[in-house]
Amino acid sequence: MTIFLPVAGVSIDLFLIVGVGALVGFLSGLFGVGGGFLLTPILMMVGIPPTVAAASDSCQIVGASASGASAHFRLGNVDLKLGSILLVGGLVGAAIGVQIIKVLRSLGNADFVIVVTYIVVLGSIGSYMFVESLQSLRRGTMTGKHHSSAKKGSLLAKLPLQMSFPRSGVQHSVLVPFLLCTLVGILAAIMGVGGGFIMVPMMVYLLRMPMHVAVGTDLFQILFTCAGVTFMQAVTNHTVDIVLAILLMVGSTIGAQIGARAGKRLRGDQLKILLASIVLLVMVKMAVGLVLTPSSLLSYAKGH
Amino acid sequence: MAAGLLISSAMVPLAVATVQGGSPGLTVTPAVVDMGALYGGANLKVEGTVAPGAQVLVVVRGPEAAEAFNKKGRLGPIWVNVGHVSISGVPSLFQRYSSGPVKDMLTRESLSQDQLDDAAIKAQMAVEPKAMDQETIRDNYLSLKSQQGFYKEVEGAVKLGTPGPGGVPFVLDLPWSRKAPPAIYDVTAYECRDGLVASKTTARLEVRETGLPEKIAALAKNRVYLYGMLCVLIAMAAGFGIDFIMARFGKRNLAGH
Repeated sequence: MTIFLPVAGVSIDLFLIVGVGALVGFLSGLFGVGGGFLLTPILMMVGIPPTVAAASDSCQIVGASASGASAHFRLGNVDLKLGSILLVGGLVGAAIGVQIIKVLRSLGNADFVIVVTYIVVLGSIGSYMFVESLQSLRRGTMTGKHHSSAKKGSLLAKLPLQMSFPRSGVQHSVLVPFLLCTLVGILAAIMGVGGGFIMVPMMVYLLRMPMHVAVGTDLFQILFTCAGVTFMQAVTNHTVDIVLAILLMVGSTIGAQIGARAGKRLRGDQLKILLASIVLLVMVKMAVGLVLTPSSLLSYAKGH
Repeated sequence: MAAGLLISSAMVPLAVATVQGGSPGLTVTPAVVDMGALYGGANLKVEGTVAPGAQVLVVVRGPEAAEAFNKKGRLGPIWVNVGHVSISGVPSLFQRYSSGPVKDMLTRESLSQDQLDDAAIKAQMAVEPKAMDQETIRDNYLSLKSQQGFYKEVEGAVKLGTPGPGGVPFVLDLPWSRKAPPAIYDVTAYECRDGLVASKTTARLEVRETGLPEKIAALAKNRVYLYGMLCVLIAMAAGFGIDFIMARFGKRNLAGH
């Protein structure tokens, strides 16, 4: 069964789009990642113009993260206090990142920087998570518990504006999550994604949040970030295809619910090693794609 | 003598083009393709007659428009975008169907004169900036369009019938790609004889958005703030709604256990 997408201007199989949405939604609910780093390339592969794919992807992430965040909120996995700070930091970082991209584009080497950033960030995070989770699994210990106790004597604990986050069971200076999220926001803007796959590991390893709370809190901040991006894309680029986004949402919201429940049945270490594997697979695919000769030296530029 | 080309339509108003040599006209069935909510492509039929002994080419052309591309190049061992290219002067879609091998139907000069093959299209292609490797970019443009199915050449697709008093009928069953964007396309039938184009007739094929897709596209283009807000609100409502339904469904399941 085919359906016509009015903004994309193409006709496509309905079940294919719903199925793609369900797969990405499942990952969203399971890991708290928005799925942009997977969904946009898949949509482009099935014939959606790149700009419409990216913008409509943001729109569907609003739906998926609303569903996932809501489910996590009921399960007590959303730290609103910390999430609000992360959201502000992420937005500040995204604004800085957009400016960095503008400068890089004017210098003519933005694409190279973006690709190398992708590989370095994905490779570093994925490798660290994979090794750490594997060691933890072998020990048979439950993670998430031992992360919850912050190191009081550390340098971080001496920073000003200390604040307690009871839901996450941690205490930090407000500056720590803010600056970390600003950094993630910069990387996310450079890489053109929501940044969940960077944010969740940051929350777990640097903020010492329990994995499940990190996932729920990340979905909370992604909801607002992507709502802003969707609105801006619709206003400035006219590239949000609501029909495409709704179809993706139908799949992704259901997938996110299943993912959130599946995540509850898995231990933190198991979640982390699964996410690490996906991150590494994407990194390897990108690295291979960089080296192999492309089928065409031309690709449609954004805005067309 | 230039034979007439007749293409009939049963369902939609005829699209008639001016024809030299007294040809009666050219139509496509249907001449208008409506892209509604459940649009999935269309099956078109092109019919007509030619004089005995002639061969037929049918060419579908999309409107010319400048297209912008990124160009990849090697930076050490890796491929990255190294610049931007603008290509213009060529049809956005070019599909050629013939009743036989084109090399036996038309001379090189005829193909070039009427821009009937890749070589002719490459010759008319404008590439900016001119400092780029023109030949490589032209080849890659054609390759990209072929991969997308927008450029293709099919020999033997036009079927010639039994000669009658009005000439030799021909028919082309044309599967219209669902990926082809809304636009006005030219469908041209060429009567080929002795290596030359003896006559040609052009009809218009309109592919347009209708119904809900048309309204949504207009809203997205003309009322951007309203459309943007609607997108966000619909997405949030869908997410929270699905969660509400799933939560209730989950509770019932638990109660059942």
